[in-house]
Amino acid sequence: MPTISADDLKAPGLRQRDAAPRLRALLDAAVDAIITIDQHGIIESVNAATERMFGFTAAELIGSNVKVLMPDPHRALHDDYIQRYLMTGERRIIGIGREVEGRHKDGNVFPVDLAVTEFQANGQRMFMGIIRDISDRRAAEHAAQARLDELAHAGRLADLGVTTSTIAHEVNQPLAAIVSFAHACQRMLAGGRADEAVLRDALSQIAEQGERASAIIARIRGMAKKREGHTEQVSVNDAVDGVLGMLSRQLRFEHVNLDVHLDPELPAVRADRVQVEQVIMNLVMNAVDAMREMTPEARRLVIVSARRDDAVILTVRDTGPGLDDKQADRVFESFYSTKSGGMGIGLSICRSLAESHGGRLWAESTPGDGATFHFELPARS
Amino acid sequence: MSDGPRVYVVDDDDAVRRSLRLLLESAGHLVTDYSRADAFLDACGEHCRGCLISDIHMPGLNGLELQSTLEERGIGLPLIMLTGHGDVPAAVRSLKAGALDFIEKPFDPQHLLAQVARALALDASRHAARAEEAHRGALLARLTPREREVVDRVGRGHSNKVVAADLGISERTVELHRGRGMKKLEVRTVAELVRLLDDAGATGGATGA
Repeated sequence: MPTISADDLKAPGLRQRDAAPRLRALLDAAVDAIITIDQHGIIESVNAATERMFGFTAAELIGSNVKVLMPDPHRALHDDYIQRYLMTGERRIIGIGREVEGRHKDGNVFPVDLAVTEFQANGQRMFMGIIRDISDRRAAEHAAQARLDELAHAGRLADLGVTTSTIAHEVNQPLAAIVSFAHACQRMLAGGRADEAVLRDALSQIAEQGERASAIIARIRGMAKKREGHTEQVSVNDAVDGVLGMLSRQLRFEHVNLDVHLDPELPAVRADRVQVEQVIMNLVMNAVDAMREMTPEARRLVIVSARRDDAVILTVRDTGPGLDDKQADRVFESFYSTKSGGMGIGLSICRSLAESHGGRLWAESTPGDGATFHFELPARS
Repeated sequence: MSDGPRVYVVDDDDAVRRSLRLLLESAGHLVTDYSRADAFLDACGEHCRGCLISDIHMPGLNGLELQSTLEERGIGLPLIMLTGHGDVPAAVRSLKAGALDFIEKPFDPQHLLAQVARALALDASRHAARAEEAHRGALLARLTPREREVVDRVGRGHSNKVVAADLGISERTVELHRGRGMKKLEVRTVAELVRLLDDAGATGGATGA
């Protein structure tokens, strides 16, 4: 098994004869795959993690072209990449690091972080690649993105709930016209008083109104495509964790200090998980928005879950400017907003979501002392 | 516009209005339709007979406002309110304010036609009652005050002798007024006179007595 030359080790204080086995141990203990190649792309050494990650033995890899570890198109182009770098010195990856894909011996392609450095050994230009398998991280990101999509969809569904009555009314118009036209035609035919022109006109009206109805239905379907709500046992604490996880980057970016107290004994609630998360997300985002004018030190978001009798109460408190009594009532109305760019939709939807679960959503506030929102859900078994 | 009974249709949706018109015409009704409540109000007065089918949701004056305006103007057309999804509270308000029925869109055409027939029958009987009342009023207006005094008492079952004593006139004079009065009222028997006076009394047409 080849080893990296002790010449490459610049650590002072180590005696040369100890250096090689120490380095070997260090390389094999690494979680990341570490591979050295020459300027032709031929693998000179690999560590143990490389074997685990790619499924090849060291013996299979040493002396092979490193492109066996890459899926197309990089597999086909890698020799050119090296040549281009050697000729132009233009760095695409060396010293930069980027997310690329690796190829397992079984053909499976997986996402990796790749960092490459260049060094000289025995008078030759060599490259060392450090490769980290980021499948888990990518899967988590995908899951988070999927949850965000789902939440966004739930938002559209809730909007739909608000406008269902309007849409149903719209569909009823063409339906009423269709049944009336059709019935009129039947009566005229039965009475032997059918004027062909009148019938023809009525029939084309029926067709037209049918199209009008289906256009309306298509619009609804577009809005409601994905899923119907369904209830399950939901842990409000998990929902809070999930939402904070999804918003963690944003909360850090906004310099919000989090203060979370979740009651470990909290009973589960029967609810549509996505809708519960949507309400929580809305409350958290409103709190973040409300605190934007405060200094970063003054931005404190307090989230408390607690049991009260047969209910679970989630309290979300911010240190923003707060609401006066009138605002505390009105924020739940449609199209009312205290935000300059606010649509005034979020809280009205949240309240109807809370109520559709047999729960409540209300606000308390002292102007100048932040706003507190309480989200209560019945904890029936 | 002819003064015969018609079905007035007020709906802002062109397709619904046209289809209702054809449906009603196929059932033999005369139809006038309007896309706006105020246009109907401009055209319609106390002389309008028949019934009204109105949508509850309309831009401008809505169905409920139309209903209350008709009420204020004393236009007593039987009203069938057309409602959409989720309009039940408004429809109930409309019923309480005297609408004959509310029908949810999309409706069963048979049911709609049946309700229209009912509305027209109601309007016809109201109209007949008003006509009779007007006729009775006209008959009673022919009487002189003395004739009215006499026939009122005869109608209450008093004999000529009692009426004569009551009014301080001779029995012969009572007979004379009674004969003339009944002739003017176009009744031949006391029983007919009693019924006429009762009907007039019931509708507030009688005076004195």
